[in-house]
Amino acid sequence: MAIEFENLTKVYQTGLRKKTVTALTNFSLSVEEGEVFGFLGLNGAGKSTVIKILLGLIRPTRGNATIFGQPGSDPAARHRIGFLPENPYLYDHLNPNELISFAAGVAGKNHHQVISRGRELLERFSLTEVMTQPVRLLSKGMTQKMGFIMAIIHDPDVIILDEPMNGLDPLGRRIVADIIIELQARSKTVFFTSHILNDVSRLCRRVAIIHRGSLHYLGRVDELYDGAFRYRIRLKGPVSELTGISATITGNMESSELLCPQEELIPTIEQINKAKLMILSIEPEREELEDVFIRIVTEGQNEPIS
Amino acid sequence: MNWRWAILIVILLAVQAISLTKLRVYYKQTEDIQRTIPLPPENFLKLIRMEFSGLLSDVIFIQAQETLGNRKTREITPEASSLVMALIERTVAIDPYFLDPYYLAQAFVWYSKGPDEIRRINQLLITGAEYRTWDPDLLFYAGFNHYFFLREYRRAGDLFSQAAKIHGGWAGLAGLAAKMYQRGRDTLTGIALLKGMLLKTTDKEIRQYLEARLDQYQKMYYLESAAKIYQEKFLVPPRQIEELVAADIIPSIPVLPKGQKFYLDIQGNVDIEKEAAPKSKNTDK
Amino acid sequence: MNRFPNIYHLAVITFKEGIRDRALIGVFIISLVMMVMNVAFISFFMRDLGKVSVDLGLSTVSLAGLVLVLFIGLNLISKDLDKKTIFLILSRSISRTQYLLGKFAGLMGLIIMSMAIIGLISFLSVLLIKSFLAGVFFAKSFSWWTFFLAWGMSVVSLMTLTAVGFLFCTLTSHAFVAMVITSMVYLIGQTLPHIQELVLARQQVLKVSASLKIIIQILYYIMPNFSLFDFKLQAAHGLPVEPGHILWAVVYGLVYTTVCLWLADLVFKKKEFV
Repeated sequence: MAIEFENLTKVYQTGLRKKTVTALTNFSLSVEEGEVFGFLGLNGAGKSTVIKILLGLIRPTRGNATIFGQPGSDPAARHRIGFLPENPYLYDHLNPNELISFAAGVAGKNHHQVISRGRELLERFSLTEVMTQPVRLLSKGMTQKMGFIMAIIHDPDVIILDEPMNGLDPLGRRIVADIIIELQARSKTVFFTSHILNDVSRLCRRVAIIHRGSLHYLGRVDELYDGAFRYRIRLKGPVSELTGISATITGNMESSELLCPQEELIPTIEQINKAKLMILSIEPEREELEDVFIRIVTEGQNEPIS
Repeated sequence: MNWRWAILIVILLAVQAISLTKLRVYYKQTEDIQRTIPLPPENFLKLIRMEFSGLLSDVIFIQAQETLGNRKTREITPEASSLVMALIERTVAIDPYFLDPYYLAQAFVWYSKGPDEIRRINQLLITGAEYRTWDPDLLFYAGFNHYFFLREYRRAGDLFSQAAKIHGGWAGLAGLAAKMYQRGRDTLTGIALLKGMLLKTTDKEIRQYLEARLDQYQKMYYLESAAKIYQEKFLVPPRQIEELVAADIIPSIPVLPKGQKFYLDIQGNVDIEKEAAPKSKNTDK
Repeated sequence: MNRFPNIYHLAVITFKEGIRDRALIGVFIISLVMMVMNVAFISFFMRDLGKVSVDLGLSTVSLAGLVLVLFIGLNLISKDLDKKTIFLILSRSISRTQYLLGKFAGLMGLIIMSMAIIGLISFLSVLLIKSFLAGVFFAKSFSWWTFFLAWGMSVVSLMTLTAVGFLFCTLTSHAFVAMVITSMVYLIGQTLPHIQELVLARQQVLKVSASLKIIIQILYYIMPNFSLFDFKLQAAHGLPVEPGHILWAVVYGLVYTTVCLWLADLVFKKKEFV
């Protein structure tokens, strides 16, 4: 296993009154070597806590997190990791070149080898022009790209990216996605969080969804879509209600619309028939990952899988 | 530039000037108030000086000079005088090695009123000399004050002889000390000092000087002893030096190489015609 | 593991980050102005001009050093904690001890470099005064050796202060709070020896209770005694300095620094970066 979390529980004590906040409860997850893994969750769901525990930045209250079997609190284990924090803040007065040679230096990499790789990455992100400028002059997107370059410059085996697409323009997102695909082709493990579910569905084979500190979904991305089909039915004329149909109906004087889940299609049509309404069209519609995600975290609130 | 702007600027400048003149009055007032506020005690200054003793002493010393410089007449008021002394004492408390406050204090002696103030300054100078161990000047100043203002010859002699013993000090100080001792009727101590100095001196010129002084004070002591015997014998002190020979106490009156003669002054002290011992004005280098 | 390269690389980026801080240029400019003023300042005095010029020269060095440590140096570590730059560092194969040592080394490099520049300016101003303006008013025993000794001990003092600052940075993880506390410790460390002297004086200057005496005595041993590193008066008056004095002051500084860094490391290892 490239990354493994076992029964992680994290309880924070905040403030002077030692109010306790449980950030994680019994979180277990393993990511295989060579996998691109998407880690999803709302703000404050505990994504960053999981990553920080993995990197040894915070200690779990219970359980453990390992990288290739070694605890992340061991610097030697982190040797094989590349990490991009959320909204990275780089040193104001250093320039991209210096940051790259620092990242390479502490990874113990041969300098020339790294310089050519760094140059290549800078070129790819069109950062060569700013390579000798202090990073405080870089835009948010450029900083994000620099953070990404710093995460992968030393060719780590496990790359952990916290919101890698944050603040990037479509082209930048495309390049990051391409690089992730290349990394996967070289059987590197990529573990990343994202709000942009499109990217997740495009890049990952497996995802995990964390909500309120516990794992709510773990599985293939395409499995998420099972049962995620619905039909958009347009009816002629104004319709306010249909007996026996839970779906809300929207519309105007000319036509009305309702969305019905896949399994309810037949009963709905039967009801429409009964009401002697005219069907203008029935279109299959694939639910967006957003919707699936929201469905999982709202419906499954009380039933986390463990 | 737009003329409206010009007018605005003129008005602003005028208001500025008016407010400055108005504020000046208040500033004067606060200055007067500040003068009445007692100076922070030495211990407080020592507390806040941190590692900036040198700089703090410099700044306090500037205050002392300012107080002297700011006076409107040549006369120094008692308040100003005590303020200057207090500032000098604080400067020295912060940096006892600093020469300037001692120097100013010595200059201040001429303005001082009464022996108490002079003693206070002398105390300052003597304490300073304990720190500035390489510097004969402070002891010389203190000795001079004892001699010139207080007429305490033996004390002056002690201070001059201490100054003379400082390595690289001026040999003339030893002569001066011997003179003080002689004036204080303790000629033997002066002779002992000069002998001691001679033992440690190799410089030919200085040796010559010291030997001449030694010769002079030994002769003076000889005469003084003779005068004492005269008094014991006749119960009155001799009025003229020749009486010592006439009374058959000494065979003849010794003479000095340059031909100066000894005589007895009104108090009956042995002295030399035409002062050969150096005066204060040429001792101040 | 690559312990020393890590410390070296961290030191390099810390140094570069610090040396490019605009505030540093401000410190240099102010020092330069002070040194130019030195020429004017001595005209207020009569005799001890050498002493006064050395006072101002070396005091500027110390003052600039203090500003450097408190306002620029400590910022370099507490900003890491504040802005979470530390995530970029600690997620690599760098241990927390290496992080602290690397930062400290970089900061010391920055301090030594800046102090060398300010010291050079100071040296030149005193040299100018000695050579062209008031050479005769310098103490006969004045020696450049003592002058540079005072400079060097200022650096030792700043090293100790930096280590104290590191400890408070790790304890508070807040730039401003750490700066304020470190300044307080500096002030206490400078004044405590005198307070202790007053309290224990045979003639009771201050009336204090026995328990307060004990507290002051304990504090005296705990707090850093920064007055030990002050050789400015010796330099100004050309007073003799005993080798033992220098040796023990350096030993004291090194031991205090080591203890502070060690404590900072203990705290830092326990720290969680939320």
